[in-house]
Amino acid sequence: MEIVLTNRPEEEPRLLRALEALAAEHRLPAKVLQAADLALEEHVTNVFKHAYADTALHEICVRLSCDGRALYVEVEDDVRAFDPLETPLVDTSIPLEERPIGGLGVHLMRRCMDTLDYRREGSRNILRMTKRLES
Amino acid sequence: MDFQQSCSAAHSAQRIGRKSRVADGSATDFNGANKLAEIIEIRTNVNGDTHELLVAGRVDGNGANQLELDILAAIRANAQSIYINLSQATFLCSAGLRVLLQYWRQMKNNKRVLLVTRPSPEVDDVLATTGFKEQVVEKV
Repeated sequence: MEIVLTNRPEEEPRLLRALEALAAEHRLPAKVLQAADLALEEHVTNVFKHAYADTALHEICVRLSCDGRALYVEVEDDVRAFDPLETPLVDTSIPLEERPIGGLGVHLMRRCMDTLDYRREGSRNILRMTKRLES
Repeated sequence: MDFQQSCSAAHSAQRIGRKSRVADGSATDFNGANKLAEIIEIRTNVNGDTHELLVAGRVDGNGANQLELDILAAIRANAQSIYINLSQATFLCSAGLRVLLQYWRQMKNNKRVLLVTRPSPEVDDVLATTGFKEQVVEKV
């Protein structure tokens, strides 16, 4: 399943509906659906809000698939090179009074998905995330 | 706590409007449990200088903006304690965490209280995995 989004906030519900449709088709556990929902929210929001330095319309391609063992989520965009995995790890043991604000989105992606792989192909970023169905 | 609901008519109408399902209502109903496309709804109950925000639905980027507006309204109303009831919240992302952190700190610095109460299992996972749970969730 492939969904092409533009960088407009009203596009988000389309992505949610696609994810729900895939979950229904494959009878995905609620935990798996929630994890993919959260990871997509964090990454797509990041791409939409922070990565485009212009006001032009851009396309983000989201591919969702499931093979019975895992859910695969791939996000492709034409933003400048941006590897979310280079974001520093968050030390969650630091008291909130001293905690820097930021970095929590990627932290949540790392924690809720089983694998995250980033690659740059030409002018495009591709982030592939996996969530095992039994984890 | 015996809260007196204090939403104005306009406030309620706005919330009801915001609660409407995503435009074409085509979200797949998968045993009624895996529905994602929910929009946030926040109601405020006031009891003296204690405000309780009852949050239902999705605290995503837009939801976090709405939550921030409602927290700010409580602060402007001179709330000494703000309790954010997340028992009906189905989703919490980093934008919502940023709002909680910012106003948890601000209230604490002003010798006031902002705490999350009764987080739903989905929200509890997020609060736990980010190290927020120990400090931001009310201990029962």
